[in-house]
Amino acid sequence: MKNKREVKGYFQWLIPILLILLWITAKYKGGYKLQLLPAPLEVIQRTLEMFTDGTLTDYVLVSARRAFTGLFFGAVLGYFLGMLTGVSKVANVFLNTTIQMFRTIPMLAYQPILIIFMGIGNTLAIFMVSMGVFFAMYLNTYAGVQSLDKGLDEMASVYGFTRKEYFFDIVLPGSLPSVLVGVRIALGSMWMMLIAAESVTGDSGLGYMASHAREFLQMDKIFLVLFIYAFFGKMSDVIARALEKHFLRWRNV
Amino acid sequence: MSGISIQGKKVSKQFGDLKVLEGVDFRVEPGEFVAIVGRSGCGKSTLLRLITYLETVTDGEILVDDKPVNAINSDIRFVFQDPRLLMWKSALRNVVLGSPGRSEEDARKALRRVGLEGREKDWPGVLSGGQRQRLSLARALVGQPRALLLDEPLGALDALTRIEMQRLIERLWKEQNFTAILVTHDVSEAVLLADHVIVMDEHKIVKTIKIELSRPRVRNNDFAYYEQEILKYIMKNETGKEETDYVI
Repeated sequence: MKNKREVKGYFQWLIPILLILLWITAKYKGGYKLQLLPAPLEVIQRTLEMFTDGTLTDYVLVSARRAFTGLFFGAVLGYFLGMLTGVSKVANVFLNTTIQMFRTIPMLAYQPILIIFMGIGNTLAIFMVSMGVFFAMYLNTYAGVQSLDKGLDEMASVYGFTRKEYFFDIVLPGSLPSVLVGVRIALGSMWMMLIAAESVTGDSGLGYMASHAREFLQMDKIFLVLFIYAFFGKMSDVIARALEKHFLRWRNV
Repeated sequence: MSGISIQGKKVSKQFGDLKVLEGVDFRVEPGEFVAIVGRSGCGKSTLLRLITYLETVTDGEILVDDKPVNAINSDIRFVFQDPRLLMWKSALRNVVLGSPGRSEEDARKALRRVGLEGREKDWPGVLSGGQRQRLSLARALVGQPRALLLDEPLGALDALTRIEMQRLIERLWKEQNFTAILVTHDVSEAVLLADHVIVMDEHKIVKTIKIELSRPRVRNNDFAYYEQEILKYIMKNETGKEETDYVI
């Protein structure tokens, strides 16, 4: 059993390794455009260089701070409003249609108007991340509450559940599977919105690093940013998985 | 605590233009076990829901303990066809939430009574279909209700588990002396458990049959006689049609 898992562990790295080999082959045997690719060694050198002079750490920290601030505000607001429109008919009438309407507009289409009002600094990045996260959390929280088994409502009234019990013992835990799907999607759109915002923002962050590198054709730098995003993406996934494993114990039986 | 009387006077129920019950009269004595049988759509489940106040009557009235029903009453518990458990709460918590005082001690006792001792911490997800229905039975009985309404609770179970559950329900009914009303489309289940069988057809009660067999009941000739007797009233329409066919 343990052996089988170990073998599986090795196999999942097979394609990434092949991709790196493909990268090297393309660089040295490909056409002139492919020769623009950085050599793996160059990427490593660039990493060390930027790490020692502190710029890499700066960019990562700035981006991470924007990402998590945006995540916090977006998630709290999305979860709260999703619960509200899910539970309260009045809130549903007033808010749901409006929010669903704004959701249909592609998020990046808001960027021009936001730049006009907010400029291209920190605020824009945080706001855009919040927006991406908000819609993911809102939609899935709302769907989670709406899709609760209506039979449980009857059960709750027959068994004299108080409003508090109805909320904390049925609505909150019952909607959690869908909410956690929302978290997973939110983490994805968090990085996406961050890149979009940072590629136009002033002078810091990973998105800035990538778009700046493009202007100077610093391919190694562009690759480095891609690797960092891949790493953060994977981390987000691990965190989402861990949350699901913990909170949905009752389902994994 | 002893059972409660349940009575219906000219009870009618309509959903929009759809008539579900038309002037139904019945009386269930305290501590009695009554089964309601009939085809699907005859209104038998609706009758239970009216008694619980999950629905309200269009006309007529329902009396519990000779008082008109106007709210959900914690003396009357309802067991649904699907167990309707909180899958994210342990077996014990599910039962605790059924007890009027949210008492953990009572919940443990109730679990013991239905044979789920030792499963307190388990999620409902790991229990079998029969065990889940036991759990919902424990949740219904934890507060020592004076009436238990069962809406085809065994419909989804396999034959052997059904027999086991029928015995359990009969035992609990004897121990706790509540009034029981069981809605079922299984005629033999009705004869096995009930003191009186109410036969419903096309939104009305067509016959009430007293089952005079000693308990525990065995499926002998007398048992079969009652089954036939009940089936006669349910299948009445069909046989009627066949007869006219022969005449022509």
